[in-house]
Amino acid sequence: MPFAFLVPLFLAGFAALVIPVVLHLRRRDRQKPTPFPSLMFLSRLPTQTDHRRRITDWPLLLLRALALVLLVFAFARPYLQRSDVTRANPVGLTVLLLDRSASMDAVGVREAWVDSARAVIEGLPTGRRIAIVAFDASATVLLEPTDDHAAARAVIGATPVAAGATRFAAGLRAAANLLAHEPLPGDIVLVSDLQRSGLAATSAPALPSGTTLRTVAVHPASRDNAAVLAIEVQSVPAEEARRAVVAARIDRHGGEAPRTTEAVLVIDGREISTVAVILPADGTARVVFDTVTLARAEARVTVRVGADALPSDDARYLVVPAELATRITLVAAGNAQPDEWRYVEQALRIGRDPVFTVERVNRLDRATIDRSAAILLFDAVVPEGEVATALDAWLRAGGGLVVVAGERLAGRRGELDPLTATLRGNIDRREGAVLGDAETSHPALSAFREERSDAFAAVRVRRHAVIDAPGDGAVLLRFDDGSPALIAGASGAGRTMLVAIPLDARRGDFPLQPAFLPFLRGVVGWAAGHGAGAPVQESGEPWLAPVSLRTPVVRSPAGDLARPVDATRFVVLRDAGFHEAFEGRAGGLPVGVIAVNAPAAESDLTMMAAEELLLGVAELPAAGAMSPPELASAREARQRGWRWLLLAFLVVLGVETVVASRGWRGVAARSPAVSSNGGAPR
Amino acid sequence: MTGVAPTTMLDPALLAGIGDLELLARTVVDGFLHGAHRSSRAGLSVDFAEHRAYQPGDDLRRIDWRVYGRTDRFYLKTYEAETNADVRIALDVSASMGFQSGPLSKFGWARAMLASLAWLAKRQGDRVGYIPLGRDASAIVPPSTRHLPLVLQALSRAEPEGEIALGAALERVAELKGRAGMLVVASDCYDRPEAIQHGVAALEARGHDVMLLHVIDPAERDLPYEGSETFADLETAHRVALKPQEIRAGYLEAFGAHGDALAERVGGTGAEYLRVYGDEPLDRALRAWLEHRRRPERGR
Repeated sequence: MPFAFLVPLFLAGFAALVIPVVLHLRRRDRQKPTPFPSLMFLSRLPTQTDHRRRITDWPLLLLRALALVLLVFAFARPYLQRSDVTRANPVGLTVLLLDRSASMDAVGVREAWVDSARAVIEGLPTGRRIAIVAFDASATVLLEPTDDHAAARAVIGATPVAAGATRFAAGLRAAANLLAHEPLPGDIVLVSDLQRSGLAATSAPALPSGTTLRTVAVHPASRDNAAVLAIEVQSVPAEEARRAVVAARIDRHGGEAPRTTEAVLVIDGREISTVAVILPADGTARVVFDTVTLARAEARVTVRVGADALPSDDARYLVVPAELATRITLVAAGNAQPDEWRYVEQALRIGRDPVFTVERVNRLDRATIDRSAAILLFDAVVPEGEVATALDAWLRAGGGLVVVAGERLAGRRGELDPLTATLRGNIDRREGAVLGDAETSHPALSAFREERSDAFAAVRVRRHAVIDAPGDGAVLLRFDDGSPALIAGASGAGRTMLVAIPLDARRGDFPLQPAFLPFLRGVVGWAAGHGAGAPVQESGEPWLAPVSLRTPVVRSPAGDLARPVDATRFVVLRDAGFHEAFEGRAGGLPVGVIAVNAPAAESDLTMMAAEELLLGVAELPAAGAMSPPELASAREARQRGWRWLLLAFLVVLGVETVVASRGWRGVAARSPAVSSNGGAPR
Repeated sequence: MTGVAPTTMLDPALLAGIGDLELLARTVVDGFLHGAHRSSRAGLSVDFAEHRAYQPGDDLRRIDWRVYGRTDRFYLKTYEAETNADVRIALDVSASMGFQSGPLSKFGWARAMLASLAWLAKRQGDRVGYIPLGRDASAIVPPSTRHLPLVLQALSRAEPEGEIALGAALERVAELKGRAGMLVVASDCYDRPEAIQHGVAALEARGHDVMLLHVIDPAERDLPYEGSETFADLETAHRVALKPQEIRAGYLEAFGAHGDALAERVGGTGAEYLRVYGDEPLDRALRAWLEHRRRPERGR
């Protein structure tokens, strides 16, 4: 088995072999020369030049050279080359690429898909090697290259259809990886419904040179497919009950004439309402159900239409939180005048997205804290004692706290817990301070991203609080003298916001400016957790478990349990429907419910020509140029030679030390060290 | 010093432990004189030698007025030895003098020797001066009866450094102004014998009575090294690698020939050449100087 080097550049280190030779020639076997008053007589003696250029200690020189050689080899990382793959695998490889996306669940497709795959295997000549790769948004190698066709057939029967989106690039890339290590050009047989949407979003893969791609198209019985693509729940003001209007958007792909179907509203497993809806060909319909009464708790809302070509997108799932409106607690000081907090309260009550329910109190208590999505301390002193502990715990668990530092709060000066900022009092700005340096990339100020002119330029502040920002806080807005006007921070899983801008009309005109409303709603909304925006969870995509779940377990609609992948917090949710999240074990009431829907793109069953698939496909170097993947342990075994070399280097070094310090060499080495004033010879 | 034989104070191993040069010189001289059973005035003489003609600059007090009365010419009386002769000590301060294989370097030995000699000369009523044989001529101390402390101070400050050619250095000393007198030179004499001869001859021609102490370290004398050595020249930093055992005979021969050549050439000029070793007591050199001191003055 031949060997080569991982880092052959280090072989240049052989040049260092000159060093011991030079050392020996210069007879620098002592660390320092011996001072002598004058070389007047010594340099005249003829014998010394003869010895100067003669190597007198061959054993020591060879030992040192050997040590250097070993060290250079160790650094160059020698490894044993693998045996020739060409000789080992003279037979070509066929990669059976199976589309397992959600659209493959269309009526009649699944059966055709299995039959086609089996037919491909049957058509392979005896001895031809086969590998099977299944893909949707990601690819999985179901069968490593083998000539066992029976095993391949068994794999086909056991392959489930997933619910992910189609991504041909993912499958082709996995197939290319398998073929890249083959000595002979292979072929890929793609069994798919060739959904055009599967080409989107990712770059085209590269296939090894000489690879042939063959497609086996499996058509759905019909392309006419309707899908529920969105559910909207609008709360309706009501005194006694929690009432809401539910609407849904239904898209229809294909079809030649409008058709009528039924849309069914299901809440918490109960069919609440059924509405007949006319679906235009290749169009969209909106259906609004009767006003319904929702439970105070979390509600699971499903809108379903009549079965058609693709059943998996006929239902849409949505989890409606316990409160539709976000509850904001406005804490105003007891002696605060109504004209101080009125602008804030009114600004929060206006608007729909999000809807804020504002509860104004003079003093916080535990119950108020617990039912708040965000707490706005309007120039009020941060509570102390038991309430402070509760507030801190609530904040760390994910609450949002907005502190407006006004005349009273800033006047107290000192540390401001739990925001860790420092209050430095108030400052008069008679000429009118201006706001600037807005960090509109922050979600709280996202409303100002599209503003061409500075939205805050018109604001004038005559007196404001002076705050030292904490080290970990982000200053989102500043006064024109550089002092922070708005500071965002974090405390555990919670969000904090410190406002130094006066939010009343006494000390400035901010509440009278157009920027006030989006500013306040953005800041409070971000603190209440609206900023990030709830992601749309699609089947086949990983779901990130919240940090509040230490050992998350997710139960699928079919009852299967899933846990995070490896050491991450991601749980792959494959099926559409309501998934329940539990802490530790799946039992009792779930701590959370996740609505997972089929990818919207899968609803369009439009096919493409097989040639389109090859558009943009690049060519890799000739097959066989690369080695097949190898187990890490085997690779490590082939490369571990450097350890032995290093060990041998240390042994040689030890021997060299012994040799150099024994006998006459040792005597020479023990010659007295000398100073500049000379030294005593033996 | 009770209980210690005074002459042991002349041992280089003991002298190495004395930092105060004045104390060292006094100790050496006292020990030397006590051991030699000689008077501190030994060597002095007031015996009349001859008359010589007056020359401008001569001390008027020394004019023999009787002779003037008789001859109407000015004559001066000279004696066998001057009681207040100028004694200059010259120390080679080149880096090679710093070599040390025993308790005392050549420089340390020579400095102790010259300090003792200056002290001894002072006790005899001589004027003492100091000349460093090196680059720094500013340390020269002119002879005077009151300059012993300055001489000892200059000796204390001297450090061996740099490179000098002894012959040329001696020629430069000969060019110095001032009354001629005794000059004791301590050096390791690393220069060509001819060059040293020229230097000494120039001094002698100037009227100086020169005594050259060739200071030798025992390691220079014996070359006692073994194995492989790289020798570095203390003055030039040049290096040479060799096996001492292989070249020892050749070295000793060359070194001995150098000493012999010096003795012959320096002696030929009328000066006194004395080979002294760093591992031997100082008394031999002191005694040699006293004997040299007793010699009749020449050319005065």
